[in-house]
Amino acid sequence: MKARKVFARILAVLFLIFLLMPFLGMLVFSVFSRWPIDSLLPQTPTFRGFTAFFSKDAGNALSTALFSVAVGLTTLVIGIPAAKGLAGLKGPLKAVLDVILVLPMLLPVVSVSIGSHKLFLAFRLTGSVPVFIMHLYFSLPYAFKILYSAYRALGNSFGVTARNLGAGPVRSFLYVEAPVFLPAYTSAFIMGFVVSYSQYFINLLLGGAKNMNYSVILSQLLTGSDRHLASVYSLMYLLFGGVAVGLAFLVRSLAERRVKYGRA
Amino acid sequence: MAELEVKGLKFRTGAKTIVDDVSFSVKDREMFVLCGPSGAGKTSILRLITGEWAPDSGEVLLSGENITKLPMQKRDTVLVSQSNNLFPHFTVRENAAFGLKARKIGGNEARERIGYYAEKCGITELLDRYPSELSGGQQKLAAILRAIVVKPKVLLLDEPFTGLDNNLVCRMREFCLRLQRENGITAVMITHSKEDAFFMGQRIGFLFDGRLELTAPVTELYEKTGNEKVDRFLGEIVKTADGGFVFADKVLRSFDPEDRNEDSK
Repeated sequence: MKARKVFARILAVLFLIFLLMPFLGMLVFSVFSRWPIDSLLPQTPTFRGFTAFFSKDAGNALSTALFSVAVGLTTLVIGIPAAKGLAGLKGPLKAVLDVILVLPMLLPVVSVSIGSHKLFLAFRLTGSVPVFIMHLYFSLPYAFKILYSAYRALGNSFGVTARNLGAGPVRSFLYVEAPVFLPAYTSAFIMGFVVSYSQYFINLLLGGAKNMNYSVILSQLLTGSDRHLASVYSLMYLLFGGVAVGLAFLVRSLAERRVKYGRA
Repeated sequence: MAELEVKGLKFRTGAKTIVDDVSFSVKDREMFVLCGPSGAGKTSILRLITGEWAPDSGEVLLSGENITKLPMQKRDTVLVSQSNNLFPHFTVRENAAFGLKARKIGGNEARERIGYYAEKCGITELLDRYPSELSGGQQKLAAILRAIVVKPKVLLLDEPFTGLDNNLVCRMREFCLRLQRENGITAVMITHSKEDAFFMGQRIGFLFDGRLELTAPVTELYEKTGNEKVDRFLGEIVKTADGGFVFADKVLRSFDPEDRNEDSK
């Protein structure tokens, strides 16, 4: 028993090290521009990267995060009723549906994006709309899978009970269903957000110069030789994404507190 | 006039007929029990009455008004489901107040009603607890409180004693019956247990394969009914000296110790 505990702790520490090592590297290179192989400590402290980020690309990072928040929220708007409706299915249709729903996760982004690009051009759809649709296409299955599993596990009996007690669909959803499924909604939103936030190829192919998201800028820096700039931009990528995810948890916790409804 | 009237209700899923031309009526302040084996369509009938499902044909009338096409939140019928479905994020008090708020009843009236019925249900001291902090029996009482506090025209009980231990079932039966009689509640209860049906019901309807085979007052069911399915389901009923009854197939035969010895050789 003791040996198992020690083993578990070693694994936990290793996990943390592997998780934190790249982060520590980024932190160091975000404030130093060089760390020669013969030096014990990093050299040439600088804030050049932060200056460049805040003067040029902070707006892009923010708009990228907001765009992905919109994608995450849209996945919820589409995913919740769909998951609720399909969770009640039984028999062979359910098995077929399960396969269809994971297909967008398995299909290569490149082939789907190029195929869709031709379709969008045929319909004269340009600008941010096709980018948004494609982000949604790849985010939705992940978010839906979470929502679908939650509705299959818990069913919709709470919503039905609320309606049976006299609550309309809106009240029933806001005060009963949403609080019960809030953890699933939050996870689904975060999944939708993360998939969209990390999209690179879609924006590169469909976005054009106007819809170049932060991942496209970041990828150019990561393939370049300026480690300091790449580290700063990577940290900022983490920061903006982290703030959005943190806000999702904050909203969830506030909603859980505010939902105390019906006290007589 | 009957408080609840179900006329020619039919419901199919795919090729399977779940509810087949079911008609019955429930009088004001009556406890009507629908009894039958699992899969007979009992819960489906309750779902058709509450409006969770829409029938393929037939009508549901409440106090003479046709409610078949009304959305479920507009029907004055409340269901206590088998799994209770207490809202986990609300206390018992908040659960009870939910239906009242939905019907725009708040303030002193809501407080008084919850206090009154909580006392009747014997769960006044549990009002500020969450469902996860209650035992199975207490959860059932909380679910009943939440349903009766809105004073529905018809209370629907879906297998209310399933999952409770035997001692608790006896106490719960007596409690539910007293609550129903004292407060003049019109109720429909469904159960697969003939003991529950005989104890609770003033009239019992027997449902087999979606068809209502027979509806009769309990007092007429001690003798053979002449309906083969019902008689086979009920088996032999033995009246006891004190006016009670025993289902013969529920009596445990005494075990002969000699047989036991023979078996162990």
